[in-house]
Amino acid sequence: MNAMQVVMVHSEAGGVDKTTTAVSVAMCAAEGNEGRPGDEKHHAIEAYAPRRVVLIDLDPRSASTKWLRAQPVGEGLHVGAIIGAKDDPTGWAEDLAVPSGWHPNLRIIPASTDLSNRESENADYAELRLKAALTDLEADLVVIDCANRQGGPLTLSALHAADTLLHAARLNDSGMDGVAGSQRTIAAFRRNMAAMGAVARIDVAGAAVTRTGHGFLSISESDALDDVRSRVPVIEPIVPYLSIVPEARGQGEWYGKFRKGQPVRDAYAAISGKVIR
Amino acid sequence: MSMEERPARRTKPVPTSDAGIDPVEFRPGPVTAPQAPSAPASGAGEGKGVSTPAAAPAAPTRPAAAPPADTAPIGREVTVQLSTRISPDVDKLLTAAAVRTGKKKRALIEEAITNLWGS
Repeated sequence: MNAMQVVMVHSEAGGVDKTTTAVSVAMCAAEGNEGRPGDEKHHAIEAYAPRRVVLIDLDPRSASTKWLRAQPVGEGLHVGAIIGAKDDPTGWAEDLAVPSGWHPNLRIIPASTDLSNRESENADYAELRLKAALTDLEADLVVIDCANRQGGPLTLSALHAADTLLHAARLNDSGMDGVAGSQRTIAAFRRNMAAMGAVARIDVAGAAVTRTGHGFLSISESDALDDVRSRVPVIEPIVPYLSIVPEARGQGEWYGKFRKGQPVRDAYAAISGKVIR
Repeated sequence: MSMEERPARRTKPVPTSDAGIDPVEFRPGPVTAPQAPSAPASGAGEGKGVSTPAAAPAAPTRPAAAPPADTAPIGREVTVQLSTRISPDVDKLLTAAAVRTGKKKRALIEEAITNLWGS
């Protein structure tokens, strides 16, 4: 098996399905997939073996945490303990990861609202704590559900820890803005790392794109898709965001275990097969 | 020749001192870190945080002054706009005091007023 891969799912816009994408990629990777050929009705899915996955919720909004109904190992022992660590946090991720309850291969490091307290701090090298915490983590894949921020300590932490960036974009104006903003963040990160004589290890995998429902794209959706494509590769297929997703989220369930969720799951499974190593 | 059995254990995760504090809540003073039995030495104990049961109670006679420079308030602070003009001489004095002390003008103003008029 390859070295551990760390994928950050990012957009500078909110409400563009970052959490749906992060959770779905994490869960699809944990499940693995036997693969299938494509035909006129179904897109192809590359086969891949199940991975040991840790999902990190790096958003004070804690959407992933709430969806999985995750509880930290102890009071205050969520991802904020890493970001705000006064001691050396090397290896802390293994201590803070909790079972997801969805799949034995999937664990989660939860977030909390008070993670926002870290956003007003600027301690030296704080952005390197998350990377240090991942040392010796028992996982093949880490997926980071990022906050929608224009830079800042949380985004920087993810950029230093990750080797892969996956844009999340809904086919609307927010999705376009989010990708454009995320590109600016990546460019600034690379520029500043180069200025320091350091190497920015982050590679952009492309964009996982979602749209409401099935069928033909509307004019605005087509325009949004063209805009995203002009900026980054779009990882096919386009994910149909069906009502089963918010329904399952409201219940704390994985939509992929329901029949109505299969089209969404299959789309993310195909995307995961192209993103994960 | 002796050899160590295994690497030395790393530090264990500990909550931050403001864990559980909602960021919308304003905290004007330093926050005392919860004392874990085996917690390693951390920056939370700056020698000011922990009070003993026998500490003499201090009757507060003045409104709380601006927090010391080394303990930043936590959360979003509620402030009001001070809309007034001052004489050029006082402005120069305020600027010189800020340069000399390293304090912000706001801290100097709050300190002066509370020292003089605090009840």
